[in-house]
Amino acid sequence: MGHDDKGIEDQSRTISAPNDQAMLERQTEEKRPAGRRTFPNFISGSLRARLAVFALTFLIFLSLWQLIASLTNNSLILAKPLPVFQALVNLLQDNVPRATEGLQNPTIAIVQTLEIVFLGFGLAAIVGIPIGILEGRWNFAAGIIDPWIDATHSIPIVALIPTLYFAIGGSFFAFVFIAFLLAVFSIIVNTQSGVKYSIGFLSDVGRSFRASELQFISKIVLPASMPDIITGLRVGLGRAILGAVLAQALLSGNGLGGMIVTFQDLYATPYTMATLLLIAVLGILVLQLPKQLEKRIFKGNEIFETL
Amino acid sequence: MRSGITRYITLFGTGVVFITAWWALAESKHNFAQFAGPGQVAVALGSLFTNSAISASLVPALKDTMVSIFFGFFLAVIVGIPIGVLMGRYIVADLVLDPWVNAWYSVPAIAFVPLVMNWTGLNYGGSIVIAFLIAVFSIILNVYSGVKNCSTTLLDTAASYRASEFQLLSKVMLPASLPQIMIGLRLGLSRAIEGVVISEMLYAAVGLGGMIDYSADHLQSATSDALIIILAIISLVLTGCLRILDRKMIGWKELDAR
Amino acid sequence: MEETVVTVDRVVKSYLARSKKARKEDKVQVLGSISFELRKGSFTSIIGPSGCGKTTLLKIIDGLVRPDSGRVVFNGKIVDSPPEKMGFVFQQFGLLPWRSVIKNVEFGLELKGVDPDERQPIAQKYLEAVGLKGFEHHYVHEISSGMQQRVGLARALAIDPDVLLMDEPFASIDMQTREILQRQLLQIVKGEIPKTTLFVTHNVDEAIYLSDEILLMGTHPAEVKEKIPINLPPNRADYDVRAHPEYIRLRNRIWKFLEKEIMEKNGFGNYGSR
Repeated sequence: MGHDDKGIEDQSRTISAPNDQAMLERQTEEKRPAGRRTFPNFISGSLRARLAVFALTFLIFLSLWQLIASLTNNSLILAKPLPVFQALVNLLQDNVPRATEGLQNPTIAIVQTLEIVFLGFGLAAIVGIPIGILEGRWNFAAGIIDPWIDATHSIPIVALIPTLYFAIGGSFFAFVFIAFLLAVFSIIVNTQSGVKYSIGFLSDVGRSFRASELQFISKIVLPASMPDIITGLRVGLGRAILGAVLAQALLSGNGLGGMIVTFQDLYATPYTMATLLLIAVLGILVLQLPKQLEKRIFKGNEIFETL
Repeated sequence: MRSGITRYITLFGTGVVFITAWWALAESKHNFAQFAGPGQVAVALGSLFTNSAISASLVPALKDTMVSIFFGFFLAVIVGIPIGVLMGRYIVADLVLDPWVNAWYSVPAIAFVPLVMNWTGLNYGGSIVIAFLIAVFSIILNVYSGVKNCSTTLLDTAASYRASEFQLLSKVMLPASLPQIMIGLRLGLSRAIEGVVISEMLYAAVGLGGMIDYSADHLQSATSDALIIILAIISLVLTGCLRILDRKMIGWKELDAR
Repeated sequence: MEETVVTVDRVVKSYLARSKKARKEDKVQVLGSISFELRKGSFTSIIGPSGCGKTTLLKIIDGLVRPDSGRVVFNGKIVDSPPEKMGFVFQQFGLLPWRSVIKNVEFGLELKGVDPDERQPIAQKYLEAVGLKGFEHHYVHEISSGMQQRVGLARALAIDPDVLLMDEPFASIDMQTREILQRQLLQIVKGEIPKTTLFVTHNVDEAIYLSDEILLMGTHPAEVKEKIPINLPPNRADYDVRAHPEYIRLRNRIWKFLEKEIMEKNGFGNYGSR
């Protein structure tokens, strides 16, 4: 029947992530600190203003960079902006320093890294969101899975990369698995937090209208937890990038991670920095862009805050 | 459900399952000689402490790692909290710093490492800087959030009693934001530890991370695993301490009781 | 004598409350043997000081909470899960913020599996009945709290319940809007869309204005201390009921009862009592 379409179609509107004090124990690694911003309208409102701020920040960053680079005057430690951008352009045209010819082409490396990231992230989302819902919905499941999450939360997972290499080798899918591992916990924890929170408020409503379990999850819990789930996905994607690049740097000479190591070994600092810049920009895009989009699509919904 | 005991039983139970699975996996990989099973790792763990040749390098490595974590985290805290408060309290600071903080926060840790290591050389100074860089923005953002969400009623109350700016910050805002600040600290600690491990592993020169990488490179997987366990224990202890501190300080806020 | 629709029979409920000082869980008895009946078409209010378990009682009647002992009988069957013919209106509205107003009203029907073509006009009808015609496609945060609760009411009415349970529905709404909502509620459940209503409140005026009978609840543990029939003329929306001498008398009587309970609860002892 067409119920579900009609039911969920309106979820494109209005939910802002609640500032969830009750979930102190469950706060995840990078749960977006949900603050109610009371900006004067002219700042937060217009897209133009935001772009202007962004451009200004970038300019300041470039100037500082140039300044510090000139002061340190050691192009092996810190290259100036211009050489770095030149190196970046070269890389994107597969134009590499002679010493690295024969190694993987940069564009291929970038693509390969992105493949690993998105596969690992995709898996983490497919696995993590259901587990998060399970945990948020049934205390029993949470009781079993939570100690594991706490444990992995306290241990730097990145330290496990060498062990994982010994266990599963250094194939493409090993990298995907590492990216998956790093991403999945953020997704689980954020999803769980959102689910628990919305169940707390809306469980009576659902039950008094005799919603079946499926209806409850699909029509009430999921839409209500959307902001938190998306936060978890954002963070997870960032972690997947970290995992992929780090694993590449440690275990193989390929991909963006491998490029860092290669250029470092050659002291080709402009190229190293160009690669780092790529990674940094990727991280920023992944974490910040959805936030900006979200602000536009989900206008603040005070209802949740009054509940 | 008596949450305390059940948790331990579950943890213990799943721990047993895990170790059994691990052992089974190791047994099945007889031809993949590098993968170490629980038994071998236990032996390696023992020899790390008893074998004087190895333990000689263990102690300075431990020291390097711990120093890096402590100093990196400590610096992140004393820099992060004031900046977070500043941003939360004064809109100008917020406007100016917000893009920066968010941008730097979003950069994957690994992007910092080569540059910093180039600059500081291959010693634990670099690890401290990286731990600081990675932890501080997390702390800033959480402190900012806590301060910004401080109820205006509380602030108005303080103002109506003619509190000075300093009194307002110290007597009202900071205590009120304490839960969120503690969250920030716990996240910051995890990130600091992770940053230290990343930089140590990438440069294989110092600390536990360095030893892990070194033994991994030399295919001594049992030793590498043993070191990872030590690292994990340290990490658990540190984050556990912070958690205890957290619980002691936030008595007045309702914790999620399960 | 109208038929009895709901029988509450010796309902008892305790909760485990964790006391931080005692570091163990203690049983706090919230409801101590509650019994009463609801007659068809009547409007019954439960009044008591805040926190005396009124909400818990209402939830037990709706099957959202199980009593420790005792039972609730509705239309001849024991209630152990939310019955189809009971509607519940929540104090905090409980609306789904991502849905438009009309979709919120449709919610119960949607869950029952009613066709979209069928349920839309039904929802529309009830939306108009609460006076919100024209607001179908607004979102929850765009309308005032009084309007939000009217959406909540329309939602509950849309499933055509026999009994309407209302948990301090106007408590989160400002006084002025509240009075208008009270009048409108009466016009609906005593007029166009007659319902048997059980209404929980801590507001004495509201209870007297709306009800045929008032149940006074005490605290610790909560019990029905008195059942007071309200013998005010019907159609209370049409005259100035609050000036009626009977009203004043009732109000004094109820308030005297409450005053004692509230003072004790708030630690006043004999301070300031008349």
